Amino acid sequence: MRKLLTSKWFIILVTVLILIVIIGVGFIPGSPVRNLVKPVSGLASPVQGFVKNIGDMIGDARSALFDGIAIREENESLKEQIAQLQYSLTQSEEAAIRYEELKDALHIKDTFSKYDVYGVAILSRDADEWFSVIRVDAGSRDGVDLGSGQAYAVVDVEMNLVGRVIETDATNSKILTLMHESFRVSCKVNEVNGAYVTMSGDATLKKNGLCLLTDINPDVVLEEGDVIVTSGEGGLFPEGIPVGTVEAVDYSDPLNVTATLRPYTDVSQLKDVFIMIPVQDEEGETDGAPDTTESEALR
Amino acid sequence: MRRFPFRQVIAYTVYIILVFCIQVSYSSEMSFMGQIPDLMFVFTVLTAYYFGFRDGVIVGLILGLLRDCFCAPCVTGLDGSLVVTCGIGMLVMFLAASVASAFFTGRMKRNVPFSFVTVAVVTMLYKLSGYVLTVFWYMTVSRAGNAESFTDHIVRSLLPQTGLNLLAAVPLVFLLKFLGPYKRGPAKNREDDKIISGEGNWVTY
Repeated sequence: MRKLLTSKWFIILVTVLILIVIIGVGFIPGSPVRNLVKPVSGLASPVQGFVKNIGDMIGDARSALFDGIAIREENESLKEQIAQLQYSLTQSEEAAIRYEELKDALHIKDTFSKYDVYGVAILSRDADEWFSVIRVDAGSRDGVDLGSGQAYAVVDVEMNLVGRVIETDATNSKILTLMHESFRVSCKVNEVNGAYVTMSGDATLKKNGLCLLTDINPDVVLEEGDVIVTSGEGGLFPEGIPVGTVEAVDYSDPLNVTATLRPYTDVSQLKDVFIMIPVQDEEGETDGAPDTTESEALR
Repeated sequence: MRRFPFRQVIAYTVYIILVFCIQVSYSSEMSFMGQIPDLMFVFTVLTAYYFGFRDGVIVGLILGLLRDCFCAPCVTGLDGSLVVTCGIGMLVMFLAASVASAFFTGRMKRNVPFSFVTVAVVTMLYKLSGYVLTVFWYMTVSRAGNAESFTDHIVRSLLPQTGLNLLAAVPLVFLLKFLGPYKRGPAKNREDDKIISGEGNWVTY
């Protein structure tokens, strides 16, 4: 018996079986398996943050040493830009006053007025092409509390779509980026009565930094350079978040017209992102995004 | 009574923290052709190759757990909703360590050139089995998303990843050989997997 228990093959078999059971149980909705590993995440996060800070400090010190001349030139250029922007600002203030007057008169809604936007820093990135969820430093303690069937849109500093929050714990949240094969969102061409399409990640295209557009009506003429924004259908994401531009359209199969899309955002270059959380009204109901299932969210 | 292995625990702890932190914090800086050198995977493979099954699977399971906590795979589940998986990282690392510990046993243990061969072969096995599982998942279970073609996977994923992992193996081999968890020198008999550790001694029981 002792020989069996210490046999390498027996250990491999038992461990593999246990791990397969853990993976299988993890697929059951509401499974507690992920809660079991959260303490590990809580312990490892500060250590990872500490090492990352040291790495960033070394990087900053290196930049301070080698980028001095470039920074001086950039500073001069920025001073000129500030002067120009100051002039534009003065002009815009007058326009803003007029806009507010017209907004009240015409009942114009601000695009994202029903969303609070939380700035968060990216803590950890994908380990390889399959282990590809990003972690950010805000969790339920910071107000990023994901209810069942909900998803929060994640955007970059220019309000371009980055992905969606798929899991939160007390201090961290996990983000699925728009390049991931499992990511799908209903979009439309950004023009009056623009055509509806579905944008999804694609294993092949993502290596070129592209995404896939499907569910394109064959009667619709999509052109290279068309701007694609979220449609807001299903209520998962707010309407009008810029996603990217059409790179190429394939009409070879009239029943399955597809196109490639180049996203505006470059996920690998991002250090900070913004989570859009629907504002809760006084009765505790969310104004911006109603609870919805995955399938409803698409259309 | 066996002495508590302070050196091993400290060395493995430091390396696991370093490897995991660099992997998840600076992956975009290390990226090449859309692939990232997988330091966690390479470290597990090399540990198993040099120091045997027991060390390999312990290191592999710890790194796999951290991988599952920080960057777990996300898949479309049976009901169409997105599921952040748990346990796949541990399974991958455990199997990688098991395979690597079985490589070039006999008279080749601790041979540096063969450690690179091991890294390359285990990486290829990982990428191929990952591809097969992904295609299977898309075709039979999830029915969402598209898997890449096999040729694309070989040219744009397997080969660059193998190359990057071989590059990543260079500093890790150096660390494990010269600043590793075991002292270089006379061999010591370790009963767990019947492997003699010790620089220059390749003979195993």
